[in-house]
Amino acid sequence: MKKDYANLLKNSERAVYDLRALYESYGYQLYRTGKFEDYELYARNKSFIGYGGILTFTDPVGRLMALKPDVTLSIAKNSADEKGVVQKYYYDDEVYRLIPGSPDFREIMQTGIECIGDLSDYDVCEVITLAARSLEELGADYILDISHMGMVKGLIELLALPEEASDAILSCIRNKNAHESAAICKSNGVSAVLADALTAMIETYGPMDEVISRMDRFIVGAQMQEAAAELKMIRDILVAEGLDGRIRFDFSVAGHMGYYDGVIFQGFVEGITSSVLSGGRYDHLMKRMGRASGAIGFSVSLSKLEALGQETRENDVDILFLCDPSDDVAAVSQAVSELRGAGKSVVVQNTRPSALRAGRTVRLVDGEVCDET
Amino acid sequence: MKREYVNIALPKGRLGQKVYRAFEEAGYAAPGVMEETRQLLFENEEKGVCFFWVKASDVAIYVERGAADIGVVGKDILLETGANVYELLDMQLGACRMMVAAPEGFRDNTEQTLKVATSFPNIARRYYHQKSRDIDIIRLNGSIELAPLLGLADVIVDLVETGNTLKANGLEPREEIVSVSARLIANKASFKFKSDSIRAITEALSENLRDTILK
Repeated sequence: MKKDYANLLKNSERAVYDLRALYESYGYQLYRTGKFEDYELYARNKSFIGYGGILTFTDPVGRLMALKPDVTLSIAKNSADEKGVVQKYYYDDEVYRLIPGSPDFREIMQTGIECIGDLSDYDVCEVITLAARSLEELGADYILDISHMGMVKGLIELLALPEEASDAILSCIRNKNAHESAAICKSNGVSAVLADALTAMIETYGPMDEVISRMDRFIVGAQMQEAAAELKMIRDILVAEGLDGRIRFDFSVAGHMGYYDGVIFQGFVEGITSSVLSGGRYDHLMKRMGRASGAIGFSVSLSKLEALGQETRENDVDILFLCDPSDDVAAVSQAVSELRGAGKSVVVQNTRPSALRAGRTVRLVDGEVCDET
Repeated sequence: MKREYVNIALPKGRLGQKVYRAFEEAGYAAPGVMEETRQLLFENEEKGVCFFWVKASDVAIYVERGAADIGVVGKDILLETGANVYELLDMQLGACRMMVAAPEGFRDNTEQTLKVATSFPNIARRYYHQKSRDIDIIRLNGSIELAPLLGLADVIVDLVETGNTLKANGLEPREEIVSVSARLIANKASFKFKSDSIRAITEALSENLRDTILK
């Protein structure tokens, strides 16, 4: 029987296969990481994963284990440094995370890619292109926001603030909070030029060309200039790929300064009220792991696709087959096979379940399938 | 509620009325908002906005979860809930201070755990954590000033507007934790898809605010 996958699969399940096909077409290989990992890995890199709760348990030999809250660290840890080579992996796995503001954990279905090794500009552009194409697979209307840690970090470092104030500025950048960042600059005696640059950076976002034309209002120092050059290069590639219509530059996308460097991005799909895709370049994490490789990747939270809803079927089943205990089992079995053979779904019950919605209700009368009135 | 509209959560209460007036002055009014009515949603089709009232402490949740695209909420609630939203504008309404207050003449005995009564446990916890002070938080939902009088707490962490309530209960403000006022917030995803409308509202409110200050 031909299978109607469009009807059978949930949004998130269909997305797994669509994205798998996309990543494989770019030569990425599936990486299975397993559900558990040494807790130590997350304890060492707590800020990278960016949330507090990790589900832990002790294994039979006394090691503290964790249910994976993240896939990137597992892949990064197990990849090898090889000059001139880039390892390209994709994954689809479940991760376990604390629900923000609640003591409960949630299983999240996640897919994504990791590109680890001797990265070139091509690899960076390929990953961003794949992020945009992934969003394209998920929903008709999407926005991919691209930022650069060189911009964010470059400016924060120039402000030369104490650590606590720097963290507060980073949080203002993330929340587009220009009024509070200006107040912090003022109370810390930051020069007007730098304070204005910060406000301008927070307030500048939108289509790539629009942002590029206004970047000179806030670019100060070599680090920001380098970042701007990389963003321009990325813009050219995305335009060539025909993807520029739904891509924005937005510097409120900013990761942990100790792990992320280079480009960083976040994707949104219309109808889902938080980001579904996030990723970036994390060479600093690799360095912390004692590795020479560069790395860039992203993850897509497939569980969030539930919010898009699905066309609800009118009926749970085409035919409810009411069967009396005295009916001949062979006759029922044959009748069910024939109905199924005609492409109908059939559920056999003794009495009608109260919540079941069936297109037709039938039963056997003198060996014949008859509609129940 | 219409999808293409910008849905705006207003905080119920006195602050909410001031906030709505600011929207009105900025050109975003909707008939019936200020009237006693059973109606729940108030639309202005021409401006593409839809207002609704929610409990002040719930505004941040409505916006974070995207049920409202934007909303206005006190900085105290934002800090307490840690909502992941854009904070677009300080509307400079309902200005007050989050403060530590204690009975007059109180001396903090650092040999003991400090008992702190508050409705803002997260703010209090963060504040004392920064000071490396060991505290015992007593979470209360109202009449916080009563706690030190009855020996339930040593100090309180609460919003202070004029200080009159503290004074009337024999308390005095000791340390300011943060200044609080109403903030315009936006859902991060809504901001992407309704960027132009949300920007226009923010700019109109901001301009109106400048005019009010200059008057």
